[in-house]
Amino acid sequence: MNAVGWVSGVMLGVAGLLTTFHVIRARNLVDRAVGVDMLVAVILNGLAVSIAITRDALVAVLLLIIGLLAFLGSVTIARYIEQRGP
Amino acid sequence: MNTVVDVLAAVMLIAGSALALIAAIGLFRMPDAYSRIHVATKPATLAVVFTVGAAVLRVPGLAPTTKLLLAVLLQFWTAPVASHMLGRAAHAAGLRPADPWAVDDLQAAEEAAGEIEPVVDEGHAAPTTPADPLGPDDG
Repeated sequence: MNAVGWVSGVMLGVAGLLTTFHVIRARNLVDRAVGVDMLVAVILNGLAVSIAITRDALVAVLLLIIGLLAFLGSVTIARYIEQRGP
Repeated sequence: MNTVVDVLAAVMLIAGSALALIAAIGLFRMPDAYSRIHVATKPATLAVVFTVGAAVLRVPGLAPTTKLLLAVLLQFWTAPVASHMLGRAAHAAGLRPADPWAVDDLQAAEEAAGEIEPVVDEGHAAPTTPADPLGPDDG
């Protein structure tokens, strides 16, 4: 299970780095919002992997909180783009 | 029995992480903002389902399982709504699909109602054209 945790962690780390580069290089606000959404999904994945590896569900509440905050942030950015432009 | 569950959880962990990695690569491969919204939402949701499912298989007890399943349910509720809002906002802000064969029903409806002119999204291309339709990159 330890090796599985390492492989998953490395893949999620590479995914997070690629998404960060995408957020930096994005040309408009929609791409940035999509990249930040994707970054939140990678963080949720990392939390779930850590729960599965350690068998300790202490951070299970963080999955709920971060997911809800990301949703509110995305909707707010979308409303803002609709008024201001990309 | 325990070994079977562990192997299943390991496969789900690897699959979820690989899906997240594929989605991150797809952010660079897709041509316009709508394809990127698509590629960031669908595999990301499925990846969360896989990894949280593995956590549900591994963690004993009822209360953590309830929280994890509620997290999956919340992801299923919110991810499509958020991506739909982003796509609608991108359309309202003037971005258009880069693919000339893409079907754009909202554009047709707005043209029927007498609305805005189309603007092409150039993705990651360098800002070479003098008349940049997106304006300066002020983020």
